Amino acid sequence: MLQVALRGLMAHKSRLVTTFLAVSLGVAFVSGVLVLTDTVNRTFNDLFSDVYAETDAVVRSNEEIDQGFGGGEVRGLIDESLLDEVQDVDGVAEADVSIDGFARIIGPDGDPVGNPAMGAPTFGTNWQESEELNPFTISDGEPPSSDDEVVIDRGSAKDTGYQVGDTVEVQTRTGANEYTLSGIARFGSADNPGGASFAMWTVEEAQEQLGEPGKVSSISAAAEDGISQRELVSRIRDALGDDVGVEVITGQQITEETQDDIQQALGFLTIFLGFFGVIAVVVGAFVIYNAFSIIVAQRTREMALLRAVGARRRQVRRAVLVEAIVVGVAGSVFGFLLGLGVAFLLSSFLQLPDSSLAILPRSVLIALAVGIVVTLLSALIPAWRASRVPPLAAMRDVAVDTSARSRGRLIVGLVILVAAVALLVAGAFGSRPLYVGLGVLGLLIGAFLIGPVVARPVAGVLGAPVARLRGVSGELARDNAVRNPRRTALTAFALTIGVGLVTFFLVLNSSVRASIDEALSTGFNGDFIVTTDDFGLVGLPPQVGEDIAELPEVDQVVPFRFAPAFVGDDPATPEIEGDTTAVTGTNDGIFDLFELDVVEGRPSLASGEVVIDRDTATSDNLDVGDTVEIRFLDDARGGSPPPATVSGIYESGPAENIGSYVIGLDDYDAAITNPSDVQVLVSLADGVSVEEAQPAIREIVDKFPTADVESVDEFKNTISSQFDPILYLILVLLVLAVIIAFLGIANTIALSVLERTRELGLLRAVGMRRKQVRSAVRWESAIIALMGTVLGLTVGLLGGWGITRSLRDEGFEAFAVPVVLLVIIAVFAGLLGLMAALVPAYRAARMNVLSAIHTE
Amino acid sequence: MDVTADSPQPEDAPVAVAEPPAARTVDAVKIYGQGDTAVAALDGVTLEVPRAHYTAIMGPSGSGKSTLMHCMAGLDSLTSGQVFVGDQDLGDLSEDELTLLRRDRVGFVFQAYNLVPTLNAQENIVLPLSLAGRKPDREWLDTVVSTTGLRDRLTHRPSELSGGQQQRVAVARALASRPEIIFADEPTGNLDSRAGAEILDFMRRAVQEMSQTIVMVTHDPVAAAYADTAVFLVDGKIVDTMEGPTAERVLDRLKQLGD
Repeated sequence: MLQVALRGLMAHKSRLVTTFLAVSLGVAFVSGVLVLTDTVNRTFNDLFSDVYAETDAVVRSNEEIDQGFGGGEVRGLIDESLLDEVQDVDGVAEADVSIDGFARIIGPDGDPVGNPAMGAPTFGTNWQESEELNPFTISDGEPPSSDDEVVIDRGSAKDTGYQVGDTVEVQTRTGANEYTLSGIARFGSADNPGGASFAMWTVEEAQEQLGEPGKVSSISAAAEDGISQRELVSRIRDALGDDVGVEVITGQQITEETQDDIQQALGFLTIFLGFFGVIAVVVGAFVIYNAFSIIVAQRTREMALLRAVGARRRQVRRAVLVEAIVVGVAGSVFGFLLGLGVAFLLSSFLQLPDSSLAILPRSVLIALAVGIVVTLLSALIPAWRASRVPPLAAMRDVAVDTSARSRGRLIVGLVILVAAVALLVAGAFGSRPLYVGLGVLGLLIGAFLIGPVVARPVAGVLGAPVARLRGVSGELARDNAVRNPRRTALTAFALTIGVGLVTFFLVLNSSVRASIDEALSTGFNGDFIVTTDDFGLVGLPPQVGEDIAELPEVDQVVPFRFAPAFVGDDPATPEIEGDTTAVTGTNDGIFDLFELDVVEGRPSLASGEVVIDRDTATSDNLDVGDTVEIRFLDDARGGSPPPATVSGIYESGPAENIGSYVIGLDDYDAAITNPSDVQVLVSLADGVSVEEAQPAIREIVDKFPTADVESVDEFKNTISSQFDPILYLILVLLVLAVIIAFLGIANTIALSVLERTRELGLLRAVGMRRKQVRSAVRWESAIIALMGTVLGLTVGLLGGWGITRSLRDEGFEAFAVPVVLLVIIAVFAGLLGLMAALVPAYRAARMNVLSAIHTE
Repeated sequence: MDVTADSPQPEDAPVAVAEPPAARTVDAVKIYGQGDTAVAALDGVTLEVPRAHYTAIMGPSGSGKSTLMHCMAGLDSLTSGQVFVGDQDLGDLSEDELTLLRRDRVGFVFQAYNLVPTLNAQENIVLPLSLAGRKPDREWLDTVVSTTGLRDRLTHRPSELSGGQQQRVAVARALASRPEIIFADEPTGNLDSRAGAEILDFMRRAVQEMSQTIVMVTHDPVAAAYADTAVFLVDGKIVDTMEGPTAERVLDRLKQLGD
C-alpha cells in the first residue's frame, strides 16, 4: 500500500500543488506571527537585561507617581546623600547614582534624533562613574568632566555625524542647551540599546536638566565577589533603615520588573498577534481540509477499486495518511521559511530597531505542529469518510451530499446566529466591546453551520444578475455553484473570515477617524496646533507660544502644560497621601478654543481658581466653591500653588479633555520652575486665513527643533493616521488569509469541473462554445467568492457597527462605513474569484468532447 | 455498397432532387493509433443520408458505427476523406465553427440520456437554443412538447424523471432547434423494451410528421426495424444496405455477417 500511496503522490503532483500551497501559507501565517512576537519581545527584553547586567541591587523611592494623560507611572526622587550610606555597606563593591529622564539630541540640521512617537525612546541620564555599573563604554573621547560637556551614544553620533569636540544642542523639559561633545559611548558591542538615543551628563548637569539638585532617581550597587544579590539587598536595607521612603530590590528584580512593564506595554501587541495566529490556524485549517477533501474525492473511485480488489479500509486510509504526511511536512517547512519573510516584512512595518528575527525553537515546533497536525486531520476525516463508502457505490458515483437538508444543523445554526446578534446588539448598546467580539465570533460559527443550508438561496440571489447577463452559462454557473452546498459553504467560509475581519477593522478605523474628525471639527475652534513628537516627555519651551503670540495674524495662543501632583480637598493637610494626578496649566483662551460644556459654575481660571471635570467632581466629591489643595511633585521641581476654589465643572469627552484639574498659567508657573508645554493651540485673528498665517508661524516654530506645527486639518490627519501602521499590519495579515481562501476556491472549482466531465462533454456536444464553458466555470467561481465576500462584509459591518456603538461612551460617536473601500473589496473578491477559476476553466474548455461524454 | 446506388423511395424523390442529402461521407477513413498499433475504425466509408429519412447504422461492436456517427456529427475528425452536413465540408471548419454547427444544425440523442442535472426538463429541451442565445419558436416547441407527452413534467429535474422520460426529453432537445439532422447513439440502450419502443416510435413520428432526418446507431434489430434504411457496417466498411428493414430480416442479416 505504501507503494500505491507514493505512486499516487508522484502521479498527481499537480493536484498537490494547491494543497502544498495551502499548508505553506497557513504555516507561514502562524510562524510569521510567532516570530514577530518573539522578535518584538526580545528587542525590548535584551535592552533592559543588558542595562542591568552588572547591577546587583537598586535603591529607589517607594513613591509611585501617575504622570496623568496615560503617561504611565514613574518613581519619585531620592536624596543623593544615600549614596555614601550605600557605599559604606559591607559587601558593596561599587555604587553609583542614576538620574533618569528624557532628552532630545538635536542634529546639525536642526532636527532631533529619533522618533519616540514611533520607535525607541530618547533618554537623558548621568554618566555613571563606576565602570562596572555603567553599561556604556567610551569608544571615543572622554567622559563628561564639567557641566557644559555631554556624551552621546555611538548610534546617535553616527546618525548626526557629530565628532568629539563638536557643539551639540540637547533639549530637555527644562530647555535647550548647547554642550561640547566630550565623548561617544557604545553599549556593549552595539551602538546603543535597541535604537534608543542617549545623552549623558555629569551628575550635577543631569540633576539640573532632568531632576532636582541633590536628588537622584535611583542608586545601583554591585556586590563584592561571593555575595548574592539577595544578601546584598538585605544588608543595604539594614543599613538604610525603614523610614527614608526608599525600597531596595535586587538587580534581577529590577530587570524582571522592567521587562514586565515592557511586556505589559506590548501586551496588546502580543494579544493582537495571538489573535491573528488563531485566525491563521483556522483559515489555514479550512483550506487544507478543503484541499484534502477534494483530493480524496478525486480518488474515491480509485480507492473503491483498491477496496474492491481486497484493500482493507485501514490500508486505504494509510495510503492517504502517507500522502498527507509528505505534503504536511514539506508544506510546513516551506511555510515556516515563508513565515520568516512575513515576520521580516511586518517587523519593518513596526519599525523595530533590531532587524534580526528571534527564531525560538518553540515557534518552529508550534508552526510545524500546526501545519502537520492540521494537514493530517484534514486528510484523515475525508479519507475516513471515503473508506466508509461501499466499494461498488463509490465506483458508481460520487457520494451524495445531504448536509444541505440537515434540519438539526439549520436549527442549531439559527439559534447560535440569533444569540450572536442579540449578544452583539446588547454589547453595542451596553458599552461592552467584549460582548460584541463574542457576538462576531458567534456570527461566524452560526454562518458556518447554516452555510450549506442557505448556500442555494444565497447563490440564487447572487447569481441572478450573472444569469441575466451571461444567459445559460450564467444559469449553469449559478446552479453549479451549489451542486455541493457543503463544499461551497466551506470554501466560501474561508473567505468570509478574511473579508469579515478586514471589513471589521476598516469600519472601526473609519469610524474612529470620523469621530476624531467630528470632535475636532465641532469642538475645537483653533486654527493651528503646535506639538512635539515625544508626548511631552521633553516638551516645548514656553518661548514657542510667547513668540507666536507676538504675530499680528494671531488672535489667541493657549499653551497647554501639565505635571503630576498630589491633590486633596482639605487645606489643613498639605501633605496629602495617596495617588497623584495630572494638573493642567493653561489660560482662559482654552474656553474659547474648546467648546467645553461647563455644566456647573463658570469657565474662569483666575488666580486661585480651578476648573475640574465632572468625573473628578463625582469621584472626589467636589462642588463649585469647594477648595482644593495642590502640591506638585519634586521631580517637576514643583511647589504648591495657592489653594484653589472650584470655579467650574465641565463635561469631558475624548477631544474635550483638558484634564481633571485645570488651573491658570500664573498659578501653575509660580509653582513649577522651568515649565514646558505639551501643546500650544493657536487661533487666528478675524479675516486671516490659514494659508496667510502659516509661513509666519512656521518660521517661529522652525527655530525650536522639537516643535512641530500643524493646521487643524493636518492635525486631524495626523491623529487619525496614528492607527495606520496597526491597520496596515492587520491588512497584511488578513490579505494573506484571503489569498489562502482563494486557493481553496481554485481547488473547489477544479474538483467541480472534474466531477462534471461528462456533463461538460455533453454541453460541448450540443453546441456550447469553449468560451461559454470558460465563462460558466469562471462565474461559478465568482459566485462562490461573492458569497463568501458578502457574508464577510455583513459580519464585518455588523461587528464594526457593534464595536463602534459600544465605544460611544468613550467618545466614539460617529459610525462611518468606508463604502468605497468595501466596494473595492467586493469587486476585488469577485475578480479574484474569476482568476481562481482561470486554470480549471481553461481545462474545462479544452477537454476532449468524445472522451468526456464517455467518462463514467 | 453505396446508398446512392439504390433508387430513392418514391415519396423522397422530389426532395432528393431539389436539395443535397442531409449528410454524406466520401471515402471516410479514421485510423486510431500509429504504426504497428494502428487500427482503422473507418476504412473508406461513402454514405449519403437523404433528407426526412430515418437511417439505422447497424453492426457488431467494434464495427466502427459509433466512430462513423461521431465523425458525421462533427464530434471527431477523419484521418482522410470528407464529411458533409448539407453542403458544408466539416474538414474546413475550425473547432469553434464545428461547435456552432453542432449547436445550430445538428441534434444529438445519447445512450445515457446526458441531460444537465441542474436544469429542468424544459430548460434541457431549449439548452442548444439558450446556448445560441436564441428564443425558441413557441409554436414549434409546443408541437415538440406535445409529441413527447411530457407537458406536465416540464418543471421536473432529470433525477425526478424515469429513464424513458429522460430520453424523451433528450429527443425533444434534439428536435427543439429544428436541426438538419439528428444523430442518435444507441438511444434505447439503457431502456427497458416498453420505454425503448416509445422512444423509437417517437423518433419514427418525428421523421414522418416533422420531416426530420435521423441517423441512429444501434445493434438492436428491433430498433433498426423502425428505420427507413438499415446500413450494415463491419470492420469499418459498409457491407450491406437494407430498405424497409424488419426485425427478422435484420437479425438474419446480422447472423450472416457474424458467420
